Amino acid sequence: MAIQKILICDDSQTDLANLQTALKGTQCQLLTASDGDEAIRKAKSEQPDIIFMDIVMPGMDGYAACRSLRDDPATKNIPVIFVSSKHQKADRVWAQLQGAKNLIAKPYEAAEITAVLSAF
Amino acid sequence: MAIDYPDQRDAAPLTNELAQTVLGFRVGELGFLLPASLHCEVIERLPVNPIPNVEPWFSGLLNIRGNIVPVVDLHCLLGASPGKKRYLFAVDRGDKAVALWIDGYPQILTGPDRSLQVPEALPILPVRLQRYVSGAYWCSGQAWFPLQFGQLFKALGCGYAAKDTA
Repeated sequence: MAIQKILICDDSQTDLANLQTALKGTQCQLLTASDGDEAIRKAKSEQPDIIFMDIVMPGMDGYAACRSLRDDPATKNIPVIFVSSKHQKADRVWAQLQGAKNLIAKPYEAAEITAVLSAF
Repeated sequence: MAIDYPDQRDAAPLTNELAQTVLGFRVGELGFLLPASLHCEVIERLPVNPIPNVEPWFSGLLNIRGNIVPVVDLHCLLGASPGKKRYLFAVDRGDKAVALWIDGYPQILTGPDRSLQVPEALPILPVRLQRYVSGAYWCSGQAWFPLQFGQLFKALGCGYAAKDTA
């Protein structure tokens, strides 16, 4: 699957900018959201090919957003990659149970992000 | 045995969600269901700070990213035996947040796929919980009870405060 449109979701403007920088070289269209609710709205309307999402956010957090995306036939096939400072073993297992494809630990190298993309 | 728990008033919201996805967690032999829209996370390697002179079910306080969260041991409250691997499961946010000791990882249960069914026979619920459980379901060989945990912990807190001031 060729990734053309990426949705990134983080409440931190700094982390959003970091992700945008990491993904700049991919030439993909980048969409942004600052919480889970906005990510769900944009996922439905824009149908991105993949979503990079923080876990700890105000409003709807990443876990609840991922569950909601998995529950909706319109978004259930969009892969979700968590990008978070919560990356202990329990976090990884819980993320997988929500239906996330991967969890990238912050801080990360840009290559980790692009390596995930190459798997799709 | 027909199940007829006393308080069915708040069953509707979670019953509606049962058609979608719900969160399940186990305490001993009992399984409990929470709405999937609720904020929750599995906590690992955070110290629980014990408080002196409290009820045995009140394990202490947990600092989750600067938020002080009470930790409740439902095994102790319900007289259940803890399993081999317990995790802390933090539910809800702000001043409603509570962390619970649970057995194993919580589960994501999807209504249509997992066939949550109304059972004919179930384990008897501890009396302490009956007011806060709004029904019962059967899935994958396990009984699951929709738990109104906010009301339960509010009642526990009120009862504890009343006892303390008496």
